[in-house]
Amino acid sequence: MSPTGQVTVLTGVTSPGSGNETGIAQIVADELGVKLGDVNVIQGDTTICPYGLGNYSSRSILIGGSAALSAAREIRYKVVRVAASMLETPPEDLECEQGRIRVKRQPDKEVAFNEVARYIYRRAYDRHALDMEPGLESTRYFRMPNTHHLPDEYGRINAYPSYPYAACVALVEVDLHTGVVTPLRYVAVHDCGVVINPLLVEGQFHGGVAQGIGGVLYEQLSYDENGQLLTGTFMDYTLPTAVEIPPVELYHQVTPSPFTPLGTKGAGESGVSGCFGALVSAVEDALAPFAIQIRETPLTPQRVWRLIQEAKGKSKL
Amino acid sequence: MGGKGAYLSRCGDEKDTPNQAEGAAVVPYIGSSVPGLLDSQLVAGRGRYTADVSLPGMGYMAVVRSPYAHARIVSIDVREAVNHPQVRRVVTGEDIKKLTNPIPQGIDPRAFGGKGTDVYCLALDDVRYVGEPVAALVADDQYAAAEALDLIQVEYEELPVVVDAEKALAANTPCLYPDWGTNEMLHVHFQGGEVNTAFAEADHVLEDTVRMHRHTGAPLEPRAYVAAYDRREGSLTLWASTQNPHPLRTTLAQTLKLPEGNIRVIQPQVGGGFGLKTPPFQEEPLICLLARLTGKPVKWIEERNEHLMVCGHAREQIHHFTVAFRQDGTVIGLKDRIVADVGALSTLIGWGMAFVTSFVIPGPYKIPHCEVDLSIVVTNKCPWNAYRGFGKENATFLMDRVMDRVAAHLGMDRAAVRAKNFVPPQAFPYTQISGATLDSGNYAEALQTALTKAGYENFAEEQKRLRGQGRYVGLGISFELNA
Repeated sequence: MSPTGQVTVLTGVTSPGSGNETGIAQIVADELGVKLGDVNVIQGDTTICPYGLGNYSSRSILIGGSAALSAAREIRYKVVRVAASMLETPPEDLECEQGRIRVKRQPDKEVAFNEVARYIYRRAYDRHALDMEPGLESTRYFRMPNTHHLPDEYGRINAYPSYPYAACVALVEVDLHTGVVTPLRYVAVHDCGVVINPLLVEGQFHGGVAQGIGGVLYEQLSYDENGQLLTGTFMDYTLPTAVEIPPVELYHQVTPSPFTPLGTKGAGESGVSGCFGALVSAVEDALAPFAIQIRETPLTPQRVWRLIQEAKGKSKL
Repeated sequence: MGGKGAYLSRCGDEKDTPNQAEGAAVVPYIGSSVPGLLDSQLVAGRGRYTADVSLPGMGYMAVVRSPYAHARIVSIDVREAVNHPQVRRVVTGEDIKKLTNPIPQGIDPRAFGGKGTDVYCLALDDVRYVGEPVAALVADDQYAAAEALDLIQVEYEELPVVVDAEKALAANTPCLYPDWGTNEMLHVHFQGGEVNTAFAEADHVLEDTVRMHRHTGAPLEPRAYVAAYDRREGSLTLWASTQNPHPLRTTLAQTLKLPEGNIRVIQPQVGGGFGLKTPPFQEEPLICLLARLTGKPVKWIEERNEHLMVCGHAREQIHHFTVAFRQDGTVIGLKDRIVADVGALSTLIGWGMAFVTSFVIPGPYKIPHCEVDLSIVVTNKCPWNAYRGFGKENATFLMDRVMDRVAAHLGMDRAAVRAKNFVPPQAFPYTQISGATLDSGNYAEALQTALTKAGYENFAEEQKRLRGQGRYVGLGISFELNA
């Protein structure tokens, strides 16, 4: 926090365009009690930001957000102590909101964050900031309490800090004549623990569903027997567009993680995995009169059409 | 931790944006659908990506790639390319061996008791997949760079190609890495409970196979880099479309034999990663080396066909599973034999996805007796790279298939079989056989809600009605477990 009360978060987690800078800013703004607009998040520069492992494995809010939370907590502790001295009130009687520190139930007795911050920087040796390390900077890492890579007595490890999940239901229509599968609806109940920003989680999930449906119906990297890639352009590696993706109806179930400070779980990988089982199951269900069994993806029109023909052939015998 | 504290809200509901309610006390930002702080910039086209970085005197890199899936490099003749008036520098494996260290691998299989090999920025002797980098050059512009690529003459001696992972494991199949004596990079085995007893005691045992095909992510922005080397300071700056700037910096220091303090990695805005922009790529130290050798900045923007050919693939797995269950739908045992075709070995972390698949089985289900046996196999195809899901999607698909097959065999409802086998809310944290410790949840409630919202109860009737009209609609269920 600078002397003007502006907050800068320098973090080692990065954003590939998914919006975690916004989630981290929300966490820090809430923890400090400042306005969101006063929080600036800087990522992706090794000379400016502390060493971090970056963005992978749904870790940016879970790890980066938790580290930012504990750094903010440390800043808040100092600010509140100085404010308490200024307001002649015990620190536990203060509350921070929207950039102001108030005495509970005495709304007129307050001081702004920037006044306190300026005091800490400029008057470190004066009455209210005695016995305190100058400056308002904190660097914190976050260690998950439940991850362990050292095998236990049964040789087991726990590779991941959280296990978010989703129950998914897909509705499809199959064209008997062409084998074309058309997704009609995709309904999901998703649990990533406490949700920092529902809009951004929804965006992650929608993108995941688009990639999952692309994977199960359209996208395939095919090789011939000489190891030559046959699908090396977008003419033959067919990505779905918005037209191929049905409306995603998403609901949040929240069972907080007991292992993270805010109860969050990861959300970056959600939405992809369920598409395979849900669509394959839906196609089998649509074609129940033919009793087909799908054992291989992708569900290209050729594959589905062939399965229908084989089933018809069998029923004639 | 279980269902007690669970609540449910629909995305876009009023209560998602409580702090905007008029006259109400200010409530936390957490839980609120605050629009992305960068939205106005990104949506208006004002984002700054690596392709937007342009420096004075900047040259362009192009990479010669193997046209063969498996071959020995006999000779490389660069004379004509070197004499091209716009070419600044050409490098081959020989230069690389002299000037750089092997690239430290994202996950080195040798550290886990597997087989491995050193990987440099360019192939030194054999090429093992179509697109493997063989030589590189820098020219004044992209067109000259593309033109000069054709002037580099590489003579290859073709070697036998292995494209089928199950055949790759057969005794008489040629090895990609002859000193391994096998094409199995790593074998993984998890076992818990009394598997054989469970199978002996089960009412039913069912066996099947599922195959998931190879595909990948295709971010709007492919890989992109600009490297600049300051000879006076001995410092290197790399603008990179990457997910992990610091680990990339460390990799560059180790590969290029530079002090890490002299390197800066800057990540401009990134147009999608999905795991695919996790270093180390061979092109990363390669472009930095070329900037250092030429003394001028160098840019490389991956072409789409390069992206699909070499940026990394995912998902290709075969599962032969056997499941033991009771008449009431309770699954008591599962055996899964997995063969993962991870392509050739590279510096990328992708093969780790196969490990993760085996690690998360049996997913959200409480199946006390499990045995998972995984062969991670190399073939003459593009190496795997991290792709969103990172192996959990294969495990989810397997478990969905298992549950559907059990339901079909017993004539039971697909949702009911899942509900019967879920880890119950009171059992968290619940440790699976691998050690994967599921944190919290109420799986049955989530599934029931999804079914209700989807109109499951009346679907069969609707399906029947539509079939009468010649329309074939179906409903499918999945329960995905992520991490």
